[in-house]
Amino acid sequence: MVESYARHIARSLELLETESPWHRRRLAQVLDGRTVAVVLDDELILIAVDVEPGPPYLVVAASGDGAVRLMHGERTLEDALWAGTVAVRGSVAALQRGATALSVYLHGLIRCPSAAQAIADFEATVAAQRSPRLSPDEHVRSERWHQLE
Amino acid sequence: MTPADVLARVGFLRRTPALWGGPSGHKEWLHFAVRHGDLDLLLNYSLVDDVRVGTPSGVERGRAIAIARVDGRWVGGQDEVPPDHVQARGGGIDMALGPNSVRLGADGMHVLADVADAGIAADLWLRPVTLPLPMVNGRFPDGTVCNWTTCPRAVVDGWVRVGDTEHRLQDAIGYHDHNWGDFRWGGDFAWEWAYLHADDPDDPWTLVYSRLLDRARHQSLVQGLWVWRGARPVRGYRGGDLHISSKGLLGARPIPRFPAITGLLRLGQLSDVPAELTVEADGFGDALSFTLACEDVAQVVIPSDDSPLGLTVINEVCGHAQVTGHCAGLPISFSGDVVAEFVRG
Repeated sequence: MVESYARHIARSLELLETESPWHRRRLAQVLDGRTVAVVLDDELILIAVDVEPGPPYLVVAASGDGAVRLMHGERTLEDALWAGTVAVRGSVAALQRGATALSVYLHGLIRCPSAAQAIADFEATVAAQRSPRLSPDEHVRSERWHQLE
Repeated sequence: MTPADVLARVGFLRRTPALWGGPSGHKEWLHFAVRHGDLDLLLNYSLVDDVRVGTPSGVERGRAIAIARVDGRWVGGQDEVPPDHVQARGGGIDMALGPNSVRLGADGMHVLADVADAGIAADLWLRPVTLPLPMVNGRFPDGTVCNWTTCPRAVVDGWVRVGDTEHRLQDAIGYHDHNWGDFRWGGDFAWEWAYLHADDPDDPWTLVYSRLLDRARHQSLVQGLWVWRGARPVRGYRGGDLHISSKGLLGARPIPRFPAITGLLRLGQLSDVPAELTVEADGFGDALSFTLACEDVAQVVIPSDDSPLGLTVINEVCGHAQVTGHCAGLPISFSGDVVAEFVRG
């Protein structure tokens, strides 16, 4: 059975908690109770640290393949945004806060001894994903994207 | 006594003092570089004390890094090896990090690599042909120490697999060094290092350049240029014997970073690597110089030991060098492809 993307993200936050707790605490401070919605392939993931998810403050959409390409360094985040393979929606302040949160999350992850395995597991899930894949452009036109407004 | 015999006496694994109740903070790695045609391979096997806050003393992290440049394209990655898959014998050159291992025998070093994150595997025999040179107690401004032993030339046989392509090596030229100390990533230091072999494998000269600096690179702490002819070191120029200058910067470009996920940290397309580095040595009645033209770079990105959002960047640089002058009373003139390293804190 293919694991959900939400489970992978939850595991990575657990990893931060146990292996790099400073970054987990800092991430909670940066998000300060806000919720980030990530739409990956056809799955909606609501990310909120230490609080119940609420209305999304920032929405990010990408395909699983696109996320893996970013993680492999095949493309920069800026290039992906310009090319439309990653779509984001939020105020300028939300985008800035989201970029800071991503940076803290990544700084934590690269300090975790178990991160490499977690990343490999995520990539295996992307490779095994059988559900229909939506490009970020399709996400932006989708009903779910508009429901998140 | 052969170079391998000497290597056994000076290049052995030190191991962390924390294992017998000493202080934590030890770092140690074995580094290998091999060049063969359009293939450059770097392997680095490290054992470092885990200095994350709250980690008990004596816990180590083992990592195997493999980076290859094939036909101008970089491939690389690193595998973290669980502690129960690490074997390392202090006092010898005998280490296994999962499927990656190094063993020194009478004929040289047998190096096995299988770094899944990089998609690189190798089975190599390195036969040292230069006498190793230990350089100890390089001291950083914070009092921490970096030591190393370099064995800058080896003949390499075996194979390397990068992705699905296997490269057979016969009489390729290789490099090995061993670093250890208690310095901390993110500390007040930077370094530059390069080894130089001629493109002509029969050319007897081998050079190693290194310089430790403070992080701002206002002050050179230790600098040296060491020259071997055949097996024997014939000159060591240090301190004021050297005049070092650089010109320009390597231009903006997409930079491969390892581990690859650090590419998401938006470190940009500039590398703080000079376009050209010139080292002039003058001493013992000799004068020689080399100019390294840097051509391409990949970066190994290492988290700071002390700053939770800090990084140290190791720039692995390919380039070409021209060496000219006189050394040990003999003319020296060769050109060769070079692997160099520029560490920026």
